[in-house]
Amino acid sequence: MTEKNLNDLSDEELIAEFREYGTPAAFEILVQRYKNPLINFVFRFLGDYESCVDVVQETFVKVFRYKDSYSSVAKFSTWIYTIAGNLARTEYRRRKKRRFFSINSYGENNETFDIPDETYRPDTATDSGIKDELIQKALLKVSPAYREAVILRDIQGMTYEEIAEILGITVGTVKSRINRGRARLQDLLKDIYKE
Amino acid sequence: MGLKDDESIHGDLINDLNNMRKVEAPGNFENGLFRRINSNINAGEKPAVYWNPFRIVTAGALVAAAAVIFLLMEPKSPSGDDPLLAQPRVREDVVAERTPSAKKLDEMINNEMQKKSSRREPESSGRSVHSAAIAGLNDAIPDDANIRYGFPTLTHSMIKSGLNFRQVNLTSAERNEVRLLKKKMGLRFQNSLK
Repeated sequence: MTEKNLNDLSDEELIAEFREYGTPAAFEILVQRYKNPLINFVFRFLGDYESCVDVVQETFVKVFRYKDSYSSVAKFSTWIYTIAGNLARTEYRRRKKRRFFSINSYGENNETFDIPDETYRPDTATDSGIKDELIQKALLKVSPAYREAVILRDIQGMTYEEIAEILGITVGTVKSRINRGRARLQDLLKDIYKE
Repeated sequence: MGLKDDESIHGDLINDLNNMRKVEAPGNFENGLFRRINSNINAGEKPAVYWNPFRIVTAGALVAAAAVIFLLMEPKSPSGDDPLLAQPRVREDVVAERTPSAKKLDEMINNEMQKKSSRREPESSGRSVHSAAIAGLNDAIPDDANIRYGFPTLTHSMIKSGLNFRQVNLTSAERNEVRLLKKKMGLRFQNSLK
C-alpha cells in the first residue's frame, strides 16, 4: 500500500494496518495526526512543556508496543487519549510528590506550578497574550479531575460521550465535573469575567 | 439548571478556552520518539521495578545483617563486660615524681637534721633506751607500706600477707629517698617526745 493511500485511511484502519502488517508508515501517519493535539492536551494539564513532550512520546511508545491490545470496538482517538491521560496523571502525581523544580504558588490549597521555561516553548514565538497565561495559571489551580474534563471539552472540543469513555466515567459525571471546573475557573478569573 | 444555561453563563470563558493558542510538538519530536522506540525494542520487556526479585533479596539480606549485628552488639549480653561493674585497670606505667618544690623542702629539712645531729653527736652515743627502741621499731616497718599510705614511721608493723594491694618494686634511688624520709620522721618524733 502506498503512502498516499495510507493517508486516506482512518485512524482505526491505520492501526489495523500497523498491527497486521507492521507497516511503519501507518504508525508514522498516526504520530503525525495525534502529536499536536496530544501535546496541547498534556501541556494544558501539566503546564510544563518539557514534561508534556516526554509524556506524549511515551504515549506513542505504548501505542507501538501494545498495538495488539487495541480493541477495534473503541475509537483509536479514545484509546490514545486514555493512554496519554493516564500517563499525564501519573506524571502530575510524581511531580507533586517530589515538587521537583517547583515553587509554591500564590494560589489556594498549596497548589504548585512549574516555572515556565520560555526557551523550550515554541508557542512563545507567537504573540501569546496575557489572557492565555492567566487562563493557563488558573487551569493549574483547578483540581486535576475537573481540569482534565474542562480541557477535553473546551480546549480539545470533544463530545461528552468521548470524554466519558476516555476518563472511564459516566456522561453525567463528566458534565458535573465540567460544570464545577468551569465555575472554579470563572471564580479564579473573576477579574477578567466580571459578569 | 440545563446544560445550555451553564454554557451560556460561562460563554466567554468557554470561548477563550477554545481560542487558546495551540501548543505544538517540537521539530525533533519524531527523532526523539523513534530513538526511544528503538531503545525500548533493544532493551526488551523490563520487569516491574517494585517486584524485582533482586531488590527483595537485597533488602532481605540487609535486614538479616542488621539483625545479626544487633544480636552481637546487644548491651545486656552475658558475654559482654559491663564497664560500670568492671575493676579499674591498674596503671603500672604511671610513676609518681616529687615536685621540685618538694625536693627543695626535703633538702632543707635534711640539712637542718644534719646540723642538729652534728651538734648532739656526744649525746648520741648515750642514747636513751626509748629512742633506741624507736629506731629498732622503725627499721622493722616495711619501707613501701610507709611511703604508700603516708603512715608515720612509728606505727604498728603490718602483716602484708593476704592483703589485696599492689606491690611496687622501688628503684635504689627511690629506696634511698624512702629511707631518708623515715629517718626524718623518726627524728621529728624523737624531738616531739623531748
